Amino acid sequence: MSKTENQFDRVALIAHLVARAPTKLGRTALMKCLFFLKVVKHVPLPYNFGLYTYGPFDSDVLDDLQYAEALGAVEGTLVQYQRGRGYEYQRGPKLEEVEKQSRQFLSCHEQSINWVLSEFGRRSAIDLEMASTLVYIDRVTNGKKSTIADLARKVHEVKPHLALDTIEREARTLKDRGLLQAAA
Amino acid sequence: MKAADAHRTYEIRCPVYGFITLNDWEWQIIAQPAYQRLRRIRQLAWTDYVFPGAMHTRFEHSLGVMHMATMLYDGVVDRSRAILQSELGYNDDGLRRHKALVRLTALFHDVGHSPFSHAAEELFPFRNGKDGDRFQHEEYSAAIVRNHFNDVIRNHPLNTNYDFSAEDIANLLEGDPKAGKALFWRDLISGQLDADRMDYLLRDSLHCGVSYGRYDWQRLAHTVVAVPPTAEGGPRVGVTEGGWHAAEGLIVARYFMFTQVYFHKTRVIYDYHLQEALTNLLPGGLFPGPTGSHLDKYLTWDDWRVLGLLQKGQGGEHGKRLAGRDHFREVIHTSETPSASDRDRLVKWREALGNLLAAEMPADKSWYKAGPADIQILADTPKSEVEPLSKFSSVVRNMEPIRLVRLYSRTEHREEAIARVADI
Repeated sequence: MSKTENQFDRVALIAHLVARAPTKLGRTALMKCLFFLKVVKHVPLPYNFGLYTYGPFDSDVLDDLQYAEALGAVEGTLVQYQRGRGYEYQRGPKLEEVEKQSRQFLSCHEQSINWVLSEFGRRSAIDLEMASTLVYIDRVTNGKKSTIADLARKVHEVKPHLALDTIEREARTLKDRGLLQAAA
Repeated sequence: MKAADAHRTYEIRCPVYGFITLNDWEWQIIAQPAYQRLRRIRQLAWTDYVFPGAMHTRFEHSLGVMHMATMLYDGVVDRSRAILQSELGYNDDGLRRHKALVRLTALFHDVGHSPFSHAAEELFPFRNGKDGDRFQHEEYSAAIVRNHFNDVIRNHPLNTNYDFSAEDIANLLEGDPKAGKALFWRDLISGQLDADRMDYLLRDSLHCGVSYGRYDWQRLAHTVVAVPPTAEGGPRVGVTEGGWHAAEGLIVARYFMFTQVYFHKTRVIYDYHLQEALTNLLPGGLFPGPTGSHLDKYLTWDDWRVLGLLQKGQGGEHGKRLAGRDHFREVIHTSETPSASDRDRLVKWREALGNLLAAEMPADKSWYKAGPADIQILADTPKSEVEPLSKFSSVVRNMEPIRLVRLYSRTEHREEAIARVADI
């Protein structure tokens, strides 16, 4: 498959996630779902997620999302949040046309897509930021064993605006679901 | 070193900002051989084959990024001290310390570049040795800082005020969690409003002799802020409402520079020729990795070495094409934002061209992206709400991502190639 076709697969994946999600996904939620798909489920995505105070991020995801919108596969709506506004996405009129061209890629990763939507499709952007940061840091430690408390402390250093006990609670949940590798 | 020398400052002429001031610590850093190597890496690879003035280097750009990052840092701190204190726990000492860290990180951000900048990054080895993700130039930068700059960072008298090690700078460059809350400033090094992009648009525009990359950077530096966390996450770097037109100007400048310079049909095919020539020149067709003894071997690769080899006639067919300015010719290209039916047409073009198709260059693989990727705006409302720039700017709201694909043939095949796709 050529490089050019791969971009259509990425766009189709984004549109598919939006269409199948149990709630309308915002930009942060989509970013973090794609992070989990790449890092936890090893879906072959070319994104290079870097760590920021707002969690793993790659602007190429937003570029692909914008392309999905330009193709009519998704539609964005500006919505009011508590302290500002952001975009939420729903399926667009050309969804089937875009999905059809990447059917093989989507069906190949259907189980992973179901998994990410069921685990994270209903969670808030703030929660997803915290969960994805935990997973990122856990995997950056490259198998060096650490504790949940140590992992939570590291996340707290990056995100001091979050309470330490909230981070620890989230870490335990992720550990119970088998999403953490190094933290015991 | 005498204490008086350690407190000297130095001014360097800059075609964009006039003067850039460095302290003695930074001056000693840029004097190191691994840093001087950046003088031998051109910022825009073979772009001078189209825009003859584009001969500037990563050295000049890196100094500019440090200067711009400093202005942005000061701007954020001036306007957002309360948010920095309440959300990230900063005090005055912490802010003073991290200003020095941001300056050094910006200074080092490109120290790991390969010859001819981004054009050859497809030749970085894979992290796991065979497939998956390739190393990124930031990882080379971090490894070079750790292995070649620790002494000069650690032992300069000015460091008694900060106690930095090379590790502190490498961590922020790589986005390692050990950087802690300093990761907030990573937005200024590698983010939507980063000093890197803000500098290269201005600098590349100037050297190429075009006006497309110009925007009101002074206004941006005077309106940049820390935006508080919202339901969409954060905190992050944004712009006050008063600066949204300047932010819009930055995004439009990115669009113009991408379409008119970075993805110019002739400029971009030279990236391909360089990559093919380097595949021929490099042992095993890949650069040495950023680990162990490979790193020192990597540092021996710069533009001069490659040009010397090309001058000797090495680099195969593509080396000769580079030396003789004999590039593949564009046959056809898609629209800037191809539709699903455009994609079908692209597939048919490929089939029709068959073995006349010499190269295919898709815009989405380009390092320079034109996409708007919204900037956060701190609104002038009683609650200081955070809004995306696209809410204010109809220009940004209606911009579409550039996913142009260019198809090329050899010069001698161009007419036949054009005939084959003419009726599709």
